[in-house]
Parts: sequence; structure tokens; C-alpha cells
Amino acid sequence: MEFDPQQLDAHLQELVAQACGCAPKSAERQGYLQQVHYWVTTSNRLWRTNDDYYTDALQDMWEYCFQHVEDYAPDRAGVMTWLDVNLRRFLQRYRDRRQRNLKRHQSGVQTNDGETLNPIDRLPARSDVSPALEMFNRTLDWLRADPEGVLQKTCFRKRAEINAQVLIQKRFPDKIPWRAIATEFNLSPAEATDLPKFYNRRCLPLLRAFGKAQGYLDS
Amino acid sequence: MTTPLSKPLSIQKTPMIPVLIPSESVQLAQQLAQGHPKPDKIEQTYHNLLAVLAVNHYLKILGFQTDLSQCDCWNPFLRMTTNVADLEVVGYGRFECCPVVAADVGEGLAEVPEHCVVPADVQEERVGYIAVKVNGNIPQGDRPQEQPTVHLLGFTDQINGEEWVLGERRSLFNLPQYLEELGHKSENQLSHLTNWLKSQVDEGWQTLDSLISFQRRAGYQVRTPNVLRSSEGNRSRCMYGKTLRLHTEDREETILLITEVIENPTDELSIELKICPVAPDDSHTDETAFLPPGLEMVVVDVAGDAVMQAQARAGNRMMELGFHAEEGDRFQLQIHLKDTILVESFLV
Repeated sequence: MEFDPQQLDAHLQELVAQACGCAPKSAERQGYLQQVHYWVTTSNRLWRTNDDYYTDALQDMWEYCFQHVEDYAPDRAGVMTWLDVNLRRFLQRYRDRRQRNLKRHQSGVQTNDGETLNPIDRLPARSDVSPALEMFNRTLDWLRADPEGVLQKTCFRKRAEINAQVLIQKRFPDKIPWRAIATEFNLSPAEATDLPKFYNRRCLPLLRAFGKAQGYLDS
Repeated sequence: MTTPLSKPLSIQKTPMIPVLIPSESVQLAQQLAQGHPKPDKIEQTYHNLLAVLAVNHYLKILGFQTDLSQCDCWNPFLRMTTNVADLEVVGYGRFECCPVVAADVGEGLAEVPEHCVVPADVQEERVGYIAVKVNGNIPQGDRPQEQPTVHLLGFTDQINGEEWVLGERRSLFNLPQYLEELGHKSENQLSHLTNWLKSQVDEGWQTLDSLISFQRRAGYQVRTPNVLRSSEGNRSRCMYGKTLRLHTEDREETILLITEVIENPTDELSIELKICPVAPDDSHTDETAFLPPGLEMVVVDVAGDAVMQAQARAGNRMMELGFHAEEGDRFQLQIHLKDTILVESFLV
């Protein structure tokens, strides 16, 4: 989008003034701030660097400036400049933090032989099976075995073939859409609407209960 | 001092709002998505998390508080077993963030796709849905991380079926207003139990003697006045009720919900929730004086977890759940009958 910088600055100043005139945290103020964010972001005129922490500093800048929007002094600078100044300040913070961390991590350990050990080499090796994969396999085993028979017993409208075991297997891990499941079981439109509700209220609690028993869920 | 606008800049009705997700969050989304044996599930999880994080960071910029730790998408087990992208906005409720993958819809970056698929399994207990256009795949192997391009497209408060026609979406610029209305609504609907002991009773609740049919049918002893002082010190207690209607496919059931609050010496309150049948006023038989079999009452804590439940069987005249709570606690009572659900929210 092409912008006339002067027109944009005037508009931003107006929006910030309007925001300041509204109660903090009010929907009205948030509405003006949304517009400031939109125009600044789409204009591509904000200070930009190639640092990998740029987007982190940018987030900090937005949160800070919108919380301190009353700090903006229109007689000193344009809104874009005010945002730029704050963005540079946050970028500097990330730069300083990076420098400090670099110094801390560079200190390797000297052995008695005078050899320097890389701290990374001393980290424990990763296990061959990732926790996510182990969780996946264990859940699948439980689903297939249905050790207590509760999954097969939980049926949709007395239809034994449409049970929790079959449905959970279709949604996870097979990701089959509800529409396809409804077609497969020849469901009427009303039944097709009810099936996902049945899944949420009767099947997912069984899955959650398994997750809790395994310690995958806190509560 | 403000400068008057000579030529105001205008925004289209439902603009696409670009969001730059912080690199630390992008990295986290990549890590959390990994580990699943199916590559398409890894991509799906990554896009879900990007959608959630984009909305999360945008709302934080506007000053809203969010809580990812309470979200299903933040739990490895639920992330793996469901296709979920939820975000809890503190004080308002849970949104579903619906990713539209730019590559899947085969349209340019500036285009808004015609529709967005929202799985029926993630349409319960949502206060709204936000469509998020996501462009960017999870990097393979040691390839460097790329900044994904993310745009917020709009929102809606309800979806019919699994396809959300995006032409009917509302602008994100209306979201703060929507949340404000939602906040007022939920505050009004919340029953504040500690206030009941001070005789400040929320709208919709009545003293039991005014609920005549209940007295007649359930043979329940109603104590008046509604705040009693017991002989074991200054323990206040009060009891109020309200009639609720459950519309199932084939009939309408009317039930009575009674909530009793008892002050304990330990600063805790005992809370008793009872459900009784209500006979129609013109009925002189006992035919409807039983609870509909299968009627279920579930107490849900602030995290959304069911903590206790009871279910009516044939011939039951009443069911109840009792527990202790402290001032400031929040809970919900969910009443299920077939596919109907009623929710009552309480603040202790």
C-alpha cells in the first residue's frame, strides 16, 4: 500500500489522541489502538532490522507503547518516530541480553590435561524414543485393546458398530472428517449433527480419563 | 493537541490484519508440533499453534490477558489426540483459532478464502471463532527458521456445521466491543453466592416458598426466613431456587434447581446443589414427579474439568451434589439431558 507519510502521521496522531480520550481498557480505546497497529503495520514504515530477535522486540514495543499511550507527546515527535524510538530501545535490550548469554556460555571447562571441554558435549544423550512417540503408541495400544471394554460399550443410539473405540480411531489418528463418517454409517442429517456431540460428551471424556491415568493430563 | 484530518484514511470493512509472531513463539510452536509419527499431523499442529499464538499476541498488544496453560492445544496429549486450537481469554472465555493454510486454499497472500473448516469436536464451550490465514511450513531438518506470514481475517460467535463461510465474518475491529458485551453478559449471569448470605440474591433466583409447585410435589421442607441462625454459633445458611427448562428433541422437561449455601466456621462455605422435578401446574397426578432418567448434573471447576457428577435413574425424585468452596472460587453446574445442556455459573 502506498502512503503519503504526512497524511499517515496526521492520522496516527489523531487516533492516539482519540485513544487517550477513552477510558483505559475500554473497547473504544482498544478500537483506536487497533487502527494505529493496522496502519503502522501495513505502511511498512516502522524501523526494521534483520536480527532474529526483531519480532520479539516488536511485540514488547507494541505492548509497552499501548499500555503507555499517554506518554506520547505530540509536540515532540510523530507517532511513528515515538514507536521507532521504543522499538530501538527494546532491540538494544535483546542485543545486550544476547551478549551476556554469549559470555556465560563461552566459558568451557578446562580438564587436568589442559583440554577445553565443550559444555554441549556434556549434555545427556537424548533417548531414542521421543516422549511424544511413546505417548502416541501407548494411546493407540489402549485404543485397540480396550482393556476394560468401556470403549466398545459406549455406543451411539444403540448402534454397536458406532462406538467410542471406532470413533476415536477415526478422529485420532486417522483424521477422518465427520461428513465421511456420517456417510459411512448411513446417518440421517439429524444423526450426523448429533454424532460429534456424542463424541464430545461420551467419547472424549474416556480419552481424557485415559490421559489422566497415564499422567498425561494434570486434572 | 490534535491535527485535523484533511483526507482520512479509510479501512475496508473486514481488513486482513497482519501479525508478526515473536520468533521465540514460532520456535516454540515448531518444537511442540514435533514428535508425532505422522508428518501431516505435525503440519496441522504447527498451523494450529501459529493461529493460537498470532491471536494470543495480538490480544496481548491490545491489553487482554490470555492463559495458554489452561488450553487443550497446550497439552501434549490433547494436542496429539484432537485437532484443537483454543485460546482462553481471561474473564471472557475460550476462542477457537481457526487456521486457513494459504497453500491449501491455493490463493494469493492478499486473498481471503471462501470458507474455513472448523471441526465439530472443537465447537463446544467456545465464545467465538477467529479465522487466521497462515502461510509457512515447518522447516525440515536443519533448515533455518522462517518467519511465517500470518493475517487475522475476522471472527464470528457461532458456526452452523463445520464450514464457516468467511464472507459472513465480522471484522476484528469489532472484537473489543464483542468482548465487552460478553463480559457484561457473563457477569450478569454469574450467581454470587457469598452475597446471598447478605440477602443480595441474583436475578432469576427465588425463595422456595414462592416456588409453590416444588413444595407440593417434592414434599420438601422449606425453612423461612431464608437466612437462619443455627444454634451452633453464627452459621448463616440460605436456600434459593429457579426453574429451568430443558428442550430435548421430543419433549420439554421442567426441573427445579435449588442451591443451598451454608457458612462454616473455617471460612469455607458448604454448597449443596439439588435438582427436583416440577409438575405442570394443572397436573394432579404423580406422573411427572420423577426426574427424567439420564438427566445428569456435573460440577465443573474453573479449569473446565468435571469434578463431580450425578445421574438420575428411573424413579428418582431428587439428586444432589455437595462440596466445600472458598470465597472467590468459580464453578459451573452443567445439566445434561440427551443432547441438551444448560449451564449455570457461580462465583463463591
